[in-house]
Amino acid sequence: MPETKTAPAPQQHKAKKKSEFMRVMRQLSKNKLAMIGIAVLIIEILLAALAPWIAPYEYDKMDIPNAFATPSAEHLFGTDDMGRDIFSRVLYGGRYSISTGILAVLISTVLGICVGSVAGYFGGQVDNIIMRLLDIIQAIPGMLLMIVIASVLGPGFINTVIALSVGSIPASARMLRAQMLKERENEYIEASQSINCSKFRIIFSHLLPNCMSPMIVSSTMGVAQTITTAAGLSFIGLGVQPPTPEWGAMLSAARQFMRQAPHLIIFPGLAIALTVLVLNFVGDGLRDALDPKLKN
Amino acid sequence: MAEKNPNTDRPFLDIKDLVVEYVSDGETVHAVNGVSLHLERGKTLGLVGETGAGKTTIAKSILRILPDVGAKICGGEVHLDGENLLELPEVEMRKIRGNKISMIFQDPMTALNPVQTVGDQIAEVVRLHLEHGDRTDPVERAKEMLEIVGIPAERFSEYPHQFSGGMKQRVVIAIALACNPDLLLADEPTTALDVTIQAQVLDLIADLRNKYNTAMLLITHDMGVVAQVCDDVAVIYAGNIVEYGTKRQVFKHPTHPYTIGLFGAIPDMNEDEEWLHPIDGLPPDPTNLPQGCAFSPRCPYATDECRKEAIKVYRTADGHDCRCCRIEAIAKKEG
Ligand SMILES: Nc1ncnc2c1ncn2[C@@H]1O[C@H](COP(=O)(O)OP(=O)(O)O)[C@@H](O)[C@H]1O
Ligand SMILES: [Mg+2]
Repeated sequence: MPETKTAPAPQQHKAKKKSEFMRVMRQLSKNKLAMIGIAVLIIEILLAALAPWIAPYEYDKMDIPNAFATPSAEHLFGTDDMGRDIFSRVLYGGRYSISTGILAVLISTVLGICVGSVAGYFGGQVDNIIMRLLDIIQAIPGMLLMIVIASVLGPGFINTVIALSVGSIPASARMLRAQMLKERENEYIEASQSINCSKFRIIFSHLLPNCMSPMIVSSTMGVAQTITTAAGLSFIGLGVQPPTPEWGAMLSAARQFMRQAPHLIIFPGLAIALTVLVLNFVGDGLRDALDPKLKN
Repeated sequence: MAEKNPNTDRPFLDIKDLVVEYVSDGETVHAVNGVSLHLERGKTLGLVGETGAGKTTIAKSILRILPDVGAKICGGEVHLDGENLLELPEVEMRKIRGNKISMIFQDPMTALNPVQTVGDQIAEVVRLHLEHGDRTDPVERAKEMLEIVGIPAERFSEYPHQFSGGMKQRVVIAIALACNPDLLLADEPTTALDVTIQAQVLDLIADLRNKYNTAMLLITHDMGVVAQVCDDVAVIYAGNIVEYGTKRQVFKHPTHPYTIGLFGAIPDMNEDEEWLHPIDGLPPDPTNLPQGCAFSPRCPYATDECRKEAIKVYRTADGHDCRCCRIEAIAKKEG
């Protein structure tokens, strides 16, 4: 790289790190779907963040005479069974749904990576013990585990995120471990031992980058799943509490009116579907951009 | 045996009675069973033997990078420059790995990290061994190393998949030599390459070794490679050195029936031979080595004496070592 040639040593390293990041970004920017995905995601996040200023109504303002109104200029998405404006509720709901989804997956993925890489790299007894512990967690039905955690911790945003993430740690740990077991057989791992890389360095700077692709894809899909699971928690009164809107909760509340007033279910459903779709675009794009072999 | 370490009377690298075992599924694999080797600065020792003979295990024992679980160095000494590496604390060993001793791996296709640029991988070893206050710039050094192994420095930021097999092996060599090691362990450095590239890579290794006066342990199963680069030869069978001498001695007067067999398995261009002569039978199961000489089940000269107890090392007529109690009988027959 010509720009690194003249710079003195410390900056040079930084410049290199930056250029690696730039490379991924450049790759990503070539992927149309990923760019659309990122754009939509940013818009969604902005809308959610600015909801108090954009929303035409308060999310909990009831107007019973006007219940089940179909979409109109006054109520873009119509109103629900209590006459609340669905558009405003979808805007507000984004705040909870997107952040719970992303946060919960982030936590479970990061923990899964730590646990999985220790198990996968060290193998033997360490692996055995970790995997049996994960077996125990996985033996409990996911929903039940979440209910237990959520009811012990009580309702609330952070608690919901924790309840949602614990159940998915084993799956991501397992996936990473499998990936790691495969990857560590490669000679470059021995080679990095032979030049005296520490275990920490081997795991984090050599093995993990080679194990990340499936993790990234599954995490983006995981966000989608978590948003819907969060709905389940709200439904039984353990997640975000009404009248706070949340896409999943709106869906489950609207179920009984599906026949008479489908718009109650269509708009939050669309919001979830759109988010899931663009997250998948971004996930696919990231995976490709991170793989140097796919460099055009 | 030219120069010796002034402090001790030892050769530069001196391995004594190295014993290494693996335990897997409750079975003990006797991978290395009392190997002794020595090597001077600037010299090359060829370690020859078939797959599973324990060659890689010896190299990894020297660097102490055997797997944490399942592998055990049961005995022996590895002296480098007067220090017993097997007794060094791990902190001291860290300064040696990649710096004083480095290793070239067999398969260049997998010996490089696919998601790191080749330049970064060379710079990494330099960075890991920067002493306090050392002003060497790892990136500059990496570029220099690329040029030394015959790759333009502009290719610093390319990824391994953009390189051919031979060039990848050059990068691996650049990594191994970046810190000017005193000892280079080359574990079948050309086995995975095709023949023309093999010759180039061997030339490169030999050149660099001469230039930097590096001692090299060259592991191979190819007598041709030994002929091209080595000074001394040790033939290993089932974790035991069976024949050990200078290249000239071993090539002129191969004495151990296994070595004779190895040469018989090379096509001779001067004679019009229809068939190669592979050695009959298979290498022994390392979990269950035969009593006495491990080669005896395949050996055309074996007698009951061979199967009784461990065989001593004998001196041959031209003065090299051979672990065979039938050398006189063989000498008569072959001679
Ligand atoms: N990690 C391991 N666990 C168990 N056995 C091993 C391991 N590595 C090597 N071995 C065994 O040790 C013996 C020597 O292996 P190795 O040193 O790789 O031989 P070479 O390099 O000469 O082909 C072989 O029988 C091999 O199966
Ligand atoms: Mg080997």
